[in-house]
Amino acid sequence: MKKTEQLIEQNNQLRTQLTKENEAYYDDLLVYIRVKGFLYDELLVESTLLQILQDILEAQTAGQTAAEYFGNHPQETALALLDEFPKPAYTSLFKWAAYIFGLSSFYTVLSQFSSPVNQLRIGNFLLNGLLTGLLILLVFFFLQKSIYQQVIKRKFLLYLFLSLLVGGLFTGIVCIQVFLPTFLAISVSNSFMIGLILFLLLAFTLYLFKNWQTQREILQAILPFVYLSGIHGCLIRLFAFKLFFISQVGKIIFVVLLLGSILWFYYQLVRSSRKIVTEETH
Amino acid sequence: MSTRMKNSQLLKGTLEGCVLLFISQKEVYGYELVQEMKRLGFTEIVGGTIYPLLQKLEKKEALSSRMLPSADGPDRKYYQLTPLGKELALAFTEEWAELQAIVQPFIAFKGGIFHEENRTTD
Repeated sequence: MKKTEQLIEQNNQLRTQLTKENEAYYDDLLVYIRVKGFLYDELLVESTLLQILQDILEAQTAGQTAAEYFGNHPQETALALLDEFPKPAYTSLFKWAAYIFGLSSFYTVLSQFSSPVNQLRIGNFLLNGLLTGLLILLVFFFLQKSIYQQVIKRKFLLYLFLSLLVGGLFTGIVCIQVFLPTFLAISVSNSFMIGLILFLLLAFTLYLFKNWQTQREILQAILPFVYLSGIHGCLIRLFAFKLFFISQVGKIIFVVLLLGSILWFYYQLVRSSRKIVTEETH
Repeated sequence: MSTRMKNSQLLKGTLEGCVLLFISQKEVYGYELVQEMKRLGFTEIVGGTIYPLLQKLEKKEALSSRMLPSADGPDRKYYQLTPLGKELALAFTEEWAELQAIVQPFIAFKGGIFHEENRTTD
């Protein structure tokens, strides 16, 4: 286990010892610092969070509440703390941008496989990446604004709202894809497409084996969709199956399966949206 | 320490100097330091004031830290003074003495009268 993960794990375990009142106070601080400080050195962020938690617990044992010990202005303290952290390098921003872009482009490529037209839609591909990037920034912005400004008081409602926001905008992005005319496209041959699909499926499978332990939640959420799109993309291009997928029955079966896999993804997303941020185990 | 002093500019630099001086005598962790500073007169201090200060001093390498085992739970972060920290602590005591020498007569002569005159309206 990486050092940072160890710290998060210790944090999760120690947090169970907090009283209800202190937990509410510390959870806000934790989410605020993690979200606001997501470009900063993770190890430093997590070790500081753990340090504060240990001290709040010690204060709790001595009969002090978290607010009495840490102060009534947690937001200002959090900002003052982040201000004293070494400024994040642009490389970490770039790394995140590439990661987000990669993730969304992967989805765009998959959706193109399911269309029988053999072309790579580079323009739509880039646009989709940009839109998804914006979407994620928006969610981060909202999350960080909402914690201490109490726009939505109930935690549960806040996370539900965020899930719906993500779901809605994500659907919007998919719709744009459908209605947007194709631009900057390259035509390729049938076998090239099959080769590309198989290559990407193989890469995904390797990634799956390598990162199952650490990224299980997101991987299991997208797994059915990825394999379904990939396999469908290959079959539709093979003459023996082509007729089946053009038929009414074939189309219906595919659409049902596809909807199922998207619902599965969305269900997993809502279920783990809170977990992703606070990494809670209890 | 009065509540009025809690947010004053005067307090900030002073607190930093005092934290350095305290750590020069004893290696401490966050909670311990907060309690000690309270006990020694900074009664209105909270953790939220101390953590950013420790982080700042560590960043400018006036403090270093190491993890030491604790009786209950994970290791704790303990702070020590670096050679630069020692220099800053020494500079603080000198500046303080110098400042005190300058400010004291003002308070004794002018401030004394000022204080007497304004006492009733305070």
